[in-house]
Amino acid sequence: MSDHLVELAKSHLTNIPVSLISQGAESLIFTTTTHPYMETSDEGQQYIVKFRPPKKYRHPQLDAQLTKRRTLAEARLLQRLYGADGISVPSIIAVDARNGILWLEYIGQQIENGVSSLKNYLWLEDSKADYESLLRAVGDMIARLHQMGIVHGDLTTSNVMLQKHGSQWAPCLIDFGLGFTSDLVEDKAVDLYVLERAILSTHPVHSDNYNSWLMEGYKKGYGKDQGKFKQVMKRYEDVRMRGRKRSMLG
Amino acid sequence: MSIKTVLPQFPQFTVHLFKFKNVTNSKEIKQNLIKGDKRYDFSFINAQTVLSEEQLLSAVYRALLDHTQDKIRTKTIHSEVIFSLSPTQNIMDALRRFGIQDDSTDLIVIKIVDSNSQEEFDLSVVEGEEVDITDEDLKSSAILKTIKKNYKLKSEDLTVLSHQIVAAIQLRGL
Ligand SMILES: Nc1ncnc2c1ncn2[C@@H]1O[C@H](COP(=O)(O)O)[C@@H](O)[C@H]1O
Repeated sequence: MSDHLVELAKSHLTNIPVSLISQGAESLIFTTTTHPYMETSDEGQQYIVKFRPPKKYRHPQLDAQLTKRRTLAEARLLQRLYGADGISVPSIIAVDARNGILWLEYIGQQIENGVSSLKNYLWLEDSKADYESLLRAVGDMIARLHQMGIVHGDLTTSNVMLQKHGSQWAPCLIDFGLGFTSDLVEDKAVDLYVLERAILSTHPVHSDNYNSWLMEGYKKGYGKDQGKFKQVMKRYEDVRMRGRKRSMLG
Repeated sequence: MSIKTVLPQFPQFTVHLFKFKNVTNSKEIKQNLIKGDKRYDFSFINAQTVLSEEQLLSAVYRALLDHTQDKIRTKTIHSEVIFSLSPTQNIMDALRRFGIQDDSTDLIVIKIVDSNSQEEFDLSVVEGEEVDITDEDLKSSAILKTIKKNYKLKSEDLTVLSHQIVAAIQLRGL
């Protein structure tokens, strides 16, 4: 089904051997060991190529515009976030916006049960001792993101990747494909709620602990700006209530 | 040593990068460049504005991408490389900031040739000493203050800075 989309991506990526690792509604994600312009020095170094294919049901010209706009929107969010204090996101390697292609730094590594996403890491019994500091760090980073007026839009435990800094794991936020700029408490509260639900559904047994650590980190990330934190919290409770009502209605 | 490379997506082009120090005839080069003298068909870049190989090659990538998509904004691929180094859309400003100046002594010279033609080129137009073009050599002639000002960046970490420069180059005017 996706074969022709893979072929289309390859037609924009002459001489770049790519392997498909994920396909969503908006984009195809490939990895490659070929850098677009640097002679690769490290053996086994990988890069991410994100391709937004055209959508058949849209008018071609409008579609081309939208593809370009979404690709650039994601790239610009990453540009703003990369290097910001206390925030970690992949760096941009190259942008071919007209073809809907974004080249990014590859984040993470293999761990026992797959890639080093927060999702996989929380399944590893042996790493329990790290969970508290890690979840606090995730909360702290999300707070800083929100303080910059940026909302992730799809905060799942797969979109929080872990990177090894010395002997410590540190979070790195990936996939800003649904991200946007907003200063509305509602948008930030929903962002948090989405992550809470993701943790609840993938790690139900300890989710209460996990979420409280996350919130403590989120609070700390606001630093002196506790007023803003309280506003988001207040709305967050409303969002939870709405969520509960919705699930009661089935 | 100079660098000779082919970017995988653009096999039809071969890219040569050179670096010179103690250049004595920058003023003359610039004058001939403005006259459009064919012997001066290179990108002559003020090395003070360049921090890394990544920065240079990222600009080459952008120029080749725009060239192959019929989107270049300047007259030649060589001026386009200089324009590609810039974070802004102002061509004159880009050439002034990143291009050769009358008093430049450290130069980076880029030549892009058709991979199929055995096109010869003659670098004797540059009077200076050719040096290596590794990241270390680039850093030695880079003026960080100027670079940070050009890109409106302030990171103290050179790796982060270089990645931020790449993003600025890739996203210029889009
Ligand atoms: N920069 C990246 N580094 C490593 N893996 C990534 C990166 N971007 C995306 N992925 C992987 O691709 C999946 C889907 O990406 P996305 O469509 O951007 O959510 C993610 O869940 C990751 O497993």
